[in-house]
Amino acid sequence: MPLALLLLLLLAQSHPATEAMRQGRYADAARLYEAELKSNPNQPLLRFNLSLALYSAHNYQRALSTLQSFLKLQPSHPAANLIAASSLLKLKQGCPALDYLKRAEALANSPEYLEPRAEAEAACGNHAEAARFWLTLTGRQPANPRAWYGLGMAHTATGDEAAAKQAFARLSALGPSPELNRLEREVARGLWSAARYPEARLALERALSLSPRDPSLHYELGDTIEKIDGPAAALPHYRAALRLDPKLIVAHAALGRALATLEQHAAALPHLETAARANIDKSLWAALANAYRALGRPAEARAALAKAR
Amino acid sequence: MIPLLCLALLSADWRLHDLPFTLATGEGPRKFMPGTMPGGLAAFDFDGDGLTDLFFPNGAELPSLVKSSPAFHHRLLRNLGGGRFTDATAPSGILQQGYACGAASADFDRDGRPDLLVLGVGFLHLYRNEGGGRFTLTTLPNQGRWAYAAHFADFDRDGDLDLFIVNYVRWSAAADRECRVGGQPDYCHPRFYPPSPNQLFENRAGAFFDVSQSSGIAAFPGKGMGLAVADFDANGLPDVFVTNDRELNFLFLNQGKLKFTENAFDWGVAVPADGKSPSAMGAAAFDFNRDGKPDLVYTALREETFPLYRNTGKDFADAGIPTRFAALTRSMSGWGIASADFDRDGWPDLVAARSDALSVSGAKGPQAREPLALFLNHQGQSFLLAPGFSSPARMWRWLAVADLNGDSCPDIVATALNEPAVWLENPCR
Repeated sequence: MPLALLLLLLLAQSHPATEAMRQGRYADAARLYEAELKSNPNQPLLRFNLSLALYSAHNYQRALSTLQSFLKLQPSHPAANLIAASSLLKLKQGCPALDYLKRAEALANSPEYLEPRAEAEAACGNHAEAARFWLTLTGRQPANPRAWYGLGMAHTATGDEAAAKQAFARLSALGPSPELNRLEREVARGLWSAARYPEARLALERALSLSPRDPSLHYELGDTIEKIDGPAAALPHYRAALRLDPKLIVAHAALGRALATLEQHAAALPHLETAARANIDKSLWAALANAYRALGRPAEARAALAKAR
Repeated sequence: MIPLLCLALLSADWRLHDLPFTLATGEGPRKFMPGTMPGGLAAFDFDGDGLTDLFFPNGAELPSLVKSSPAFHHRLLRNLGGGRFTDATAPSGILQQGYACGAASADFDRDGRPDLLVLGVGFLHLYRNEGGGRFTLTTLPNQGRWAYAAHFADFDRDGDLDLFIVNYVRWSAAADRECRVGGQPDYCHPRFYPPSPNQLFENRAGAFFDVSQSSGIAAFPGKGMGLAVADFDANGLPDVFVTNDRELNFLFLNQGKLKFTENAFDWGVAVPADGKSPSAMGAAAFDFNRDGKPDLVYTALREETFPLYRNTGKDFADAGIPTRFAALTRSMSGWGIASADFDRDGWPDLVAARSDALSVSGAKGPQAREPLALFLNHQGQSFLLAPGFSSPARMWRWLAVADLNGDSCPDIVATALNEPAVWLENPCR
């Protein structure tokens, strides 16, 4: 929660709702503020506090609408604009957040401002601007993995590969942490979505070196390698994933499909059966039908095909 | 006479010539589905002078489907020889109407002159070649379907040419969906549109009759994009393989008397072994291993590979991995594909028109453009990309193989979205 300063100010007050906030009971705090607001509807500060409680309780849509009412009365309130922007970012509406952030520029020197500003700029496609804000944040918080991650992604988006590589290297140099692991995955998934498989592979290999017993990472690495080098190269990674988690359906599906493509139908069959029965994707029934057909089991092939249609 | 707009030396070998036709897709900020689909063409000697001429159907304004400017006009190019073409459209009588996606040519009335079919969103225009550069129109019924590809063949072996029409999805401007890819407006996945059945027309003394129902063809709605016609089961009758966009493909085996059964699954070509229906596009039948049985290939999008199948006589076996064709095509997106012995070594090769289905103005950007690819067949064992063959990256769509300069070597004519069509001249070595 990037609004620590505001919380401190709020918690300095003595109030049941504030007490709930202090104890981390944000939903309770929101209810208390709402009740109070009903009896004192003309107190803007109560509305602001309510929005802060709603935001802290992850109720971003209501936080936003409450703030919008508040901002009608005090349109240039920097903190309210910052929380409105943060709510929009949480609601994946990054570009509209920019207008609120521009009205909150009084807070522009704080890390709480820099991160959402960079995110909003990126969401609007202003990747060079995003890089500038991320860079400032890395200066303020050199141990913040999100800042290095954001900087790397912004440089990637502008095509500055060398700078991106440097930022990701700084990210990796922070050492193992759950946050770093999560970010490496995010990097890999972002690169995967952009069909940048060789780079995604490197990111996944970095993540695996941090979490070698993570079956999902083995699966994702196999999937990425299959995109680059075809099914045969992916087999060891799918198998590794299943050794660590024999119930990982996506790995059964991927291994079954890869073996079928390599015409190893008998080996593919148990994996395809397991995956098809999980009903995660109708096309698995088609793969299973093909395997039955290839193994000379036409009745089962027809039955599986019917489920694929 | 229209001079070739550009003559570019691609390499020491193949030469690329821009042709005086630019395919106009009508694409605007909103990506209406037809905008990514056009580009079919026909290569035929309409004036009987021994030189292969070209017909390019064209798009229209979207979503109105109206040819609101001359940029959308179809174009008939008469080949004058020596690399020169003249525009023969105006006197031809060919209607400037509708959003066209493809064309096919054959002498359906057996008068010795090749006729022309133009097809597209909601229409089938059949033109009888009257000679003297004139065509007369007969409209075939298509119930407003989106006709996408066609092939003339004598399916009933009565001596005249029947007609198979591949229809794509059911689409109308009112039913068009607005889609976004990577946050930007782009063309929708075909799952958003319902399928449509294909059509079969029987030729009776030069008139076509719709026999889609009685033949069994109409019972299989699909999202057809391409077809390959050959006698796959060696019963002496032409069969039809139809690619469907992200749906199971069809293999219509001809049982005689214009009756067909759909056998794609039993023959192993409904869907690749992994069960994932690819974005199947253009298809070609060719005997890559020269065993006398027609094999099959079709294009698809990046990561799907272009599936290649060897005909065993009773079904098809995957040939993509053993021939390295799967590895070669893994990073490619393809549309039109055609076969010919381009290097004259006696083994049929392949050429593919490549590019993504997504818009170049969308999130994919210029990466949507790809070059053409020529695959040389090494004695039926493997394929390799032809050295000495390159082309610029464009939104290539469909192509035809034709000998445009009369040197008895197969050349390539290819279309690209919103760019000039090209003639790739075979060095003929």
